[in-house]
Amino acid sequence: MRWLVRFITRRAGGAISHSDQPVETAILRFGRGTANEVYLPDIRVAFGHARLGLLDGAFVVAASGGNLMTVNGIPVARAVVQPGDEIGIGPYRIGLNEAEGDHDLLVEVELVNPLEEGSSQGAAITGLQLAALLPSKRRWSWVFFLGVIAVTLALPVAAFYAKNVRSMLTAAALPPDRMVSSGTISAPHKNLVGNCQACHREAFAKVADAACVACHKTVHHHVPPQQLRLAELQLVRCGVCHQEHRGEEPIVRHDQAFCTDCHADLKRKDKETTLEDVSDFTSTHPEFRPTVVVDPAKQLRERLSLAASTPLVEHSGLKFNHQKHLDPKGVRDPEKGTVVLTCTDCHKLEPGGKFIRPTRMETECQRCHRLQFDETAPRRQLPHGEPAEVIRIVADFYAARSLSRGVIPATLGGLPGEPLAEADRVEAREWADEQTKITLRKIVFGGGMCGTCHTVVPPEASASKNWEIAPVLLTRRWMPKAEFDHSKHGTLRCQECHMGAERSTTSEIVMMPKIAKCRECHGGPAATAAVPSPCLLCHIFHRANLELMRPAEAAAPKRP
Amino acid sequence: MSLHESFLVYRNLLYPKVATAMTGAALVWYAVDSPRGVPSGSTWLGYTLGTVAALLVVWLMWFGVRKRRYGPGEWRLEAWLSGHVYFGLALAVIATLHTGFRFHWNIHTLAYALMMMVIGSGLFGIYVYARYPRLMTDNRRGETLRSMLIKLADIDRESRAACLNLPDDFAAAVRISHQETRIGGSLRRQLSGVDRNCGTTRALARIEELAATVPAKLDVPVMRLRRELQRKQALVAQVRLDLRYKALMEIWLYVHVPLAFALLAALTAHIVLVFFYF
Repeated sequence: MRWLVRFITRRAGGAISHSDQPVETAILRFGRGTANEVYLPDIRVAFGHARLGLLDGAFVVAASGGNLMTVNGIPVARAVVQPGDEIGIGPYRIGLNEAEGDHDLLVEVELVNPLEEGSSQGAAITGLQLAALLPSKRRWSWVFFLGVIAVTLALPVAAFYAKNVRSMLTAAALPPDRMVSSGTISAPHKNLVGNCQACHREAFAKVADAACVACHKTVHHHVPPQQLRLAELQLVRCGVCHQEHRGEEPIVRHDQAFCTDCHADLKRKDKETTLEDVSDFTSTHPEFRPTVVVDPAKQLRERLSLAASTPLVEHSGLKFNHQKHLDPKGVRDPEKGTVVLTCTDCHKLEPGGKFIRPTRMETECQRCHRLQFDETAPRRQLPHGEPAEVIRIVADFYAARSLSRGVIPATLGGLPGEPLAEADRVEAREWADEQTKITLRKIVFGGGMCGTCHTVVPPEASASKNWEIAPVLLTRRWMPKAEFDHSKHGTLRCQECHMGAERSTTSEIVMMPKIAKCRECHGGPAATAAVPSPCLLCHIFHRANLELMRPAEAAAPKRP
Repeated sequence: MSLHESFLVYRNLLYPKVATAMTGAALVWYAVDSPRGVPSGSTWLGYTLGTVAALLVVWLMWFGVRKRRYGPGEWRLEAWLSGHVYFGLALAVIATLHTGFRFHWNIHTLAYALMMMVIGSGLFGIYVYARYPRLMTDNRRGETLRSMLIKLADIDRESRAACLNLPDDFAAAVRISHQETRIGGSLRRQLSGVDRNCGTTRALARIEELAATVPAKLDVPVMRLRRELQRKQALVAQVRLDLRYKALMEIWLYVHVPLAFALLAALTAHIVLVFFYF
């Protein structure tokens, strides 16, 4: 097909100019793209807008895609056209006319709706930028930055130094101390909430020990300083182990690591130590070493390990037969006839329930083991006291007896009320002395009374030439370095830990449990199938028998 | 092959890898650490993580400075953006580990909360920056905003011409379409992308009503007018959607940037106060 494309321009004044462009192609394409044969450079025309061609002897125009096109004013997508028709594409009118010369069709293209500069957009368009609607980012950034600095930094710091600022803020419900506090205060210190300077006395300085010692005046050492000087113990701040502002945790920490830092390898800290290393209860805690009396006369005690191959024995100076007392058939009781004794009949808990009260003869034994010494005076009992005192009381008894007639030999005559003659008096005293000696030897010391439990030293063997009792030293605390609470173990029977009582005839066997017994229930802190037991469950750090760790004078508190 | 390399996968995921390694190291250290006492910002690990986090905050904010330097830097801006995004995400984890998961009503937790808000708004920014450019391109279908607005003006002219042969009521409806079709406007309208009171929609409804009342010989002009208004309606919706995408891509920065400065202030206060009340 040979097309003649004529571009028509109307000028002001009615003049028409045109430029002709012959095109030889089968299909004439209209569009904004430069590849189109009819190039229509207007934004309102699609890239490839429409096509015109000869089909079965007739001209057909078709709009590509959904492009809008009119033919003689009627919107169509496709139409058969002939010379005289007018196609509308965007702002262009394309007139088809009879051919001139060699060409088959004249196609006249005219822009009838040029784009107007600055035309109204046809819609109210306002503020396409968010920046016009919102306050600027920069301003808000300054506002926030300065505001936050003022409230979170300037005010609390001012409140630290100036009391009136602090009270003003507190009154405005902006307590500066709580705003700054890094965590809740521990329960025992909650009375200090709001009084930060009780501890934080200087800015940019860690809490000094003086602040703690101001209230905690009697905190004792862990190791006697004259025995071992360690930087960790001499210089460490209270706050290293007792971390405040962790209110959800106790301020006395039970972390095993605090202990094992030293105790897992003690030789690094003290080359002469005799203590064994410990790192965990389940695996490496050494066998228990109870403190046992080895010589009651010299008051010697020794720590002996329960790991020894033979059972530990103690020489307390007392003889006691557990087996007899725990006889299932019972023992004789002066008042009740027969009683069956159990452990708790003699071994009672102290008030508080932690430890066992020392057994006292007067309260636990004397019910049955009466200290009556003369069958003619069955209610008269000797005190469980010093031998010298006992001897004097027996002597006084017989002396008094000798002075009341009826018990002296008939050689002494006389009526009641008559004073004794001198000879009678001497005889009475001799009788009293003799009776005393006999009683002491046969009944009290030499007989079954004192000697049942004590080792008696007769006058011929003693240093004072008088009856003496060998010294007795009873153990009050078998393991003084550990805290054991009997009341927490109330579900156990005594014999489960203190084994062998039923077979013991001398009470020399130390009936303390080995560590394996405790390990039946207790394990290290990481134990999942046992009671988690860190060091501090049984042991304490600040030992009350040692000197003060931070004496108040040395801490030199400064007035806030 | 696409020439475009998204900031999310820049340089073959270099920054995600580095950030993940850093975060992983922090997580592992936190898991194996057994401090004296509880985990917190004041253990050795706590101080380390806190220092790293503070340096990260400062570096992340430096992006705003780098963004405004238009010369060629040692690192391309796209590298900065990729790093900013991934190290920002790593910061969320590292700062959380630094807290030891201890939160209270105090200034320190305020700094953390501000940081999380900044990072949260940044997550929204990542989403819109990754997704919306494609959606905008698809929506425009080769147009520009200016070309769409020009076409709107054109349609208005056509519709004015179309109602010349029609009764006055039609012209009144068309005037409503011209004068009461709002594009842009308030924040809500821009962000939602719809105008429930659009003039063009109302005009079209009115035209439908009036179309039933005209004689048959006016069918063609009515059809032409209706077609023009439908074109306008579609085009207006297209423009509004374009503006919506644009607005969403901008709005989050009004949260992200000012809060970042609030964070900077709170972080400074946090660090000073930690050592003030040592």
